[in-house]
Amino acid sequence: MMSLALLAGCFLLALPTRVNSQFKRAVAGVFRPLLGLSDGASRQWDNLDFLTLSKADLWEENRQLRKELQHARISLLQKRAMEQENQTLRQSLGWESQQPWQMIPARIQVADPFNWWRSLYIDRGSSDGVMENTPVLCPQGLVGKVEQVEAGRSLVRLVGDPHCRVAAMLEPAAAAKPLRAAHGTIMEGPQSTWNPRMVSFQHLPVDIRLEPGSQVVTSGMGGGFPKGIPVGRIVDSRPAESELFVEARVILGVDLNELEMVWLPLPQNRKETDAQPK
Amino acid sequence: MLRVPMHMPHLHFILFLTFALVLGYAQSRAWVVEGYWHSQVDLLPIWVAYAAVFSRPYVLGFCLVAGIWVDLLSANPLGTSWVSWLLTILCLQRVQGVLLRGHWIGEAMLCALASAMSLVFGAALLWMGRHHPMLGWPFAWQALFNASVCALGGPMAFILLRALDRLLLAHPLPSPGYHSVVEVKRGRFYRSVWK
Repeated sequence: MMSLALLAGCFLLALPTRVNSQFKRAVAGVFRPLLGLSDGASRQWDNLDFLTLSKADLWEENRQLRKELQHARISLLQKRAMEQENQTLRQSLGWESQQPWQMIPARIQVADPFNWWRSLYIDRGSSDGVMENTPVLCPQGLVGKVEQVEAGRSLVRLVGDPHCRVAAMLEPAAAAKPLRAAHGTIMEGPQSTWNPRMVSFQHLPVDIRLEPGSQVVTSGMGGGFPKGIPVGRIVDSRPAESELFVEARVILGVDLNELEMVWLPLPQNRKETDAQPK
Repeated sequence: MLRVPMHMPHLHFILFLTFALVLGYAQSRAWVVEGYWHSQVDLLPIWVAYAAVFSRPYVLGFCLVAGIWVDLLSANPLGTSWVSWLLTILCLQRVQGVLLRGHWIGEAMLCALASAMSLVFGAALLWMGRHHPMLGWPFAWQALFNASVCALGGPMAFILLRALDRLLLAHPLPSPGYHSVVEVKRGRFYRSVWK
């Protein structure tokens, strides 16, 4: 029996990743009651924090949130005016108008218990309109992308995982030569296993001067991620081994160990009713 | 001296498995630890070690259910955990004749060995399957750290699991007619009455 189980496991591991993940999805269906039970229990556990908070703390937090909400409303008004202006200019130039996005919140269920992946599961799945390769964001910047989607949950590969590479560029204001865009790829670096916030920015042109602290944003190339999402800041740079490119170390803007909630930008016509948090 | 259970009723197996499932879920929620030690803590190899040495009849069921559960909580391809655990168990059962059962040093060594082997087997399986896991020198630190944690936590977990054994498992009663500590000494002037 043990040999049979070993053989079955080896056979599963030898299957292509896509087929294996289909098997995994099917097995997850069997384990769904257990997953739901665990998720419910952890939600209740999280809610226990409420018991330890004092009324004064809650009142202070409420006041702070009200203030932030007012700021957000005012900046939204400014943004709407700019969006209208942008739309008018696009129409006058004959450019195609951009599709609006709707942000849906997702709660983090579990983080990967193994050191060799940087991934986590969120409580939004195909029933919420989530698709594979949907970007995952938080207010500090890019978190990762959705790799596998199940009915009620999705697997997110974080930036710095070998399966999540991001087309990025230096923020135009930060580039030393603004006329020449400094495009490259954010990928796992030698220090990513040690420090999850440290990633490598590779394939940068040699004639670009990189200043430590410069902002790195997504370039939108390849269509995987929308343009302009903050990724992190340059720490240092050096010529690559081939000397054809420059590579830099980038510290991510998001502390992946402190994530509690993330946001998924979905096309607005996809799910109008799913904007409410679970 | 530790008594090895003769059989394992279903309730015992269900509780043993439930503890493992809860532990697997809890450690995937405790990602804060990684921030301090640069390594995730995985205590399930302790359960693997205990199952390998003391719970032979249910070892396969435990590996399949708990292995699938752990793979469902991670980005591992399905089968990684159960194959690496079964390989670990096969290796541990080879050397169980030389293990110091019931001694905390032996148990600590056993848990450290189980932790290191399950990590190495898992990494090797992923690497051979071209799944590109993040390996390198930090992996050696992570394996060492986890083996140390399992060595520290193993003897304590074994006390709990043994208590579970005592509570739920039936052990054979010692034979009343035989006392291993009784020794018959015959003097030099002994003469049998039957002669």
